[in-house]
Amino acid sequence: MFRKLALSDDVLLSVEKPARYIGNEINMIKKDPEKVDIRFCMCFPDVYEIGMSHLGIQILYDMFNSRDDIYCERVYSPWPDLDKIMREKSLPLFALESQDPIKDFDFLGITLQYEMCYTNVLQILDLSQIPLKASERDGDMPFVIGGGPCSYNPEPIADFFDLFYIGEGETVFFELMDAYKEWKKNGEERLDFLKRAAKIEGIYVPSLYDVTYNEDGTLKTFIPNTKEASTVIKKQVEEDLTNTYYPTKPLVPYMKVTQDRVVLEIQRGCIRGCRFCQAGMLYRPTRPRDVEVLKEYAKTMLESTGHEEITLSSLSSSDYEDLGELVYYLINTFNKKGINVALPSLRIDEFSLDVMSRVQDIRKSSLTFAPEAGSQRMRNVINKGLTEQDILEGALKAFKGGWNRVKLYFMLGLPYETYDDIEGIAKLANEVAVTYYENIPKEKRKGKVQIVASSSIFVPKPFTPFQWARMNSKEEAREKRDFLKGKVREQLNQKSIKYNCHDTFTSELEGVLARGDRRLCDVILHAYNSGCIFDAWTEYFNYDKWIEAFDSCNLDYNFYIDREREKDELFPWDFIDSGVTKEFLWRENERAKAEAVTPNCRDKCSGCGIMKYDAKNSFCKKWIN
Amino acid sequence: MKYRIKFFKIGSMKFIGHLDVMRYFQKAFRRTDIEVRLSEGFSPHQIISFASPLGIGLMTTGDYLDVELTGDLETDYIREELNAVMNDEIGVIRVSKLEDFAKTSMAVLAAADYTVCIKPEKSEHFGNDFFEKLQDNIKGYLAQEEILVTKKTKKSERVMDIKDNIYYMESNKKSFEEKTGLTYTDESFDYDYYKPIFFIRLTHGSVLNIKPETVIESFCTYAGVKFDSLFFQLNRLEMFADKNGEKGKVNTMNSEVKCELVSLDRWQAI
Repeated sequence: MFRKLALSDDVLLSVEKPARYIGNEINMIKKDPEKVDIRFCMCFPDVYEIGMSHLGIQILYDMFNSRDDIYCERVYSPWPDLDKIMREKSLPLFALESQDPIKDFDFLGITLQYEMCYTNVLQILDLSQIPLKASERDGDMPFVIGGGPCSYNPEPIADFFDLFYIGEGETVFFELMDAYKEWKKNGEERLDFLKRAAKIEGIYVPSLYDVTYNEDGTLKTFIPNTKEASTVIKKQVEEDLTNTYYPTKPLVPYMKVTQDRVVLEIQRGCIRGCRFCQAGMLYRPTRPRDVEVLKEYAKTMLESTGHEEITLSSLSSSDYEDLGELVYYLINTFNKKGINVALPSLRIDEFSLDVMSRVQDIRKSSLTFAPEAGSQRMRNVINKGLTEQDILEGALKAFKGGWNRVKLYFMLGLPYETYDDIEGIAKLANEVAVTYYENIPKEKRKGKVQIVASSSIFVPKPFTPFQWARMNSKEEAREKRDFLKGKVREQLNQKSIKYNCHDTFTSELEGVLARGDRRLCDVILHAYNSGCIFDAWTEYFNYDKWIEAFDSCNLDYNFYIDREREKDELFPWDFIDSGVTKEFLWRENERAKAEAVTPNCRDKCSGCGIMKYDAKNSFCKKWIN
Repeated sequence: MKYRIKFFKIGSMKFIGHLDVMRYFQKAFRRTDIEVRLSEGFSPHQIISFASPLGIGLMTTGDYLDVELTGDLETDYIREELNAVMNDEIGVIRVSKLEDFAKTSMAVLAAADYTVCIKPEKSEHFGNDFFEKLQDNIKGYLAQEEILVTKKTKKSERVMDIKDNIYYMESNKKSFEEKTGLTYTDESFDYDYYKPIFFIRLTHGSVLNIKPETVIESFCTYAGVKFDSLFFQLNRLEMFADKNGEKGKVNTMNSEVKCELVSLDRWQAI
């Protein structure tokens, strides 16, 4: 008898890419669901190709399944074509492994990687036939648990989740699972489990807190309504990154997915302290993995997957101290076997140019710089420690080495930005071109230099020094974009420069959701009910429906973006202790105003507060007396 | 050394497209210690080629791929190593070693055998006597003067007679095996669930390709029953080279030069 699928042949043959829904990938874990105590379904609320590329889920999948009493399975968002059919036929959403309905599981864990996935969270719940609001779920329904970077401000989606896991998944999940087994054994009420969970460090149960607002709309109080809930939720940190779970047998999809390669996470955290960057603050302390262990992982994972490519992952790979050793090891060991080493973006210097020339076809590859801002003044404001000299010298070396394509990444709408700073973007792009034409003799040139400058719209995020900042409206952003377009055209080498800009509508909504409060739950629900899903996909994003949702909920959209917040305003996410103190963030905001650069964690400790975690191999160690 | 691998792809794997099957085998080889020869150039790739892509929805218990290995390995060893790293729905049936001069499966492919079954879960749509009606009409269908079908290509549509391109069509496996003189390696196909209406051999290759779906549709029309491709489950049983084959020509059992078909794993094999 062939494996039974949840969807019929008719359905699978009528949708695009049926391979998204059948499971049975290489290294998929098979267990008898009857023989486990807990069934956990892990979800990435976007299409399969995106979700399968996410390392975090692979780590947790491996970790959960290492326990015999738990069966962890997966689900991703059905693409709109299947979504439509499932609604018409009332087919319940299912997990890929067993093909069983998710509503029969004990837990549904949803990773929240970007704000624009919120309506997809509702789609998952809805198709699973689980009530959208946690308050409407009865005893049999799975507990819905959120995690990932967006759970650092879980308030806009608080109504939809029974609980949130704040921080890195490697620490207290098993404690939570054991509490669940205990609860089940005792035959208690749903609320009793939530109370048990609330006692575990890092677990936030939104329904156990009451929220009040001031007349101006800002948050007044945020307090637990039961003794089990703590006033502060402490972020979870894996303190020994070398000796923890790592998926040495990751799943190998049939379809080509976004990240179709072995991913080695070499380091967690970042020493740089760029003031716009949420990940740089959230993933502190910076913890490198042992290079020998990584070499071993690389070998094991290439053998267990058969992938033809391996890549490194971290927030700033150039800051990994054993990078040279690791990269040369990978190239020397695996290149001759036809395995490609895909490099992450690296600081351009002799080392990176050397490795790039070994693993890439120079004629086809391009160099990437992320100056983020056009002027030195602005780069000081955002604490991006990359100077014009660094860029031009790096580019010169690369041009001499045979490259002639450069990508430059910038942001528009940064706090304290002036039009001179924006013009700086055009000027910098031009300077890169000048460097090429002045230094590479005509006979050695392979055509024109190609410079692609891209800009995205800055979105202020919680737990960053810019969490107080006002965000540019889409009108301002468009004005700036048009101004920059004009300035690019004024440059001497404008024919060598191509300029791209990110969509302004999406950024604005992302800004609202990122720093929103609980009142947004109704808006998201309304937008979803009016048909919004896959908001992260431009072809599906419908701005008007969102605006309509705000209007019907009588909520002011601009309240969340169009104002500079007071120093002592109580933020919806302030109940989370991310380890980095609010005082430090404010200090950094002040330094930004003063255009003062803060040194990175290797050069000097700036006292962000994260040192209280006793993480092994952390960069903080150096500064503990 | 050149090798030819006969494989099956059944069950839920029928939803995996051809490009993904290629990627699947490439990765499977890299999970073993069998070394596939790489092409020259800046981004070398494994030298693997497939006899013919299989459409989404079809199963196979007799498809082929050719591969060049750097070493000279035992064929059983290759099969066992690969099956150890593959799933239970795509696997290797047999490996044969080829002569150095052997042409690729794709180049020599001349015909293919299929099982055409009905899907029991669709029975309420196609009705009670559907199966019998079809089986009873096989003889009459084949006895026609000509069997006309409309062949659609990207550019045009043309009507052609495919009577000579249907080599055999039998209502049960036993008589099909008697006619073809073969024993099929289709143990993994679920005959308990899918009920075979007929077994068929058709011209299949780069010059002329008769899709089983085309024949089913024309057959249904002849038998006077409703055709819906979702009623049927197809399984490819075997693929053949023509001993008398010439480039650019199709031989049939009635042509001037008659075809002499031999299954791909016995063609130019050592």
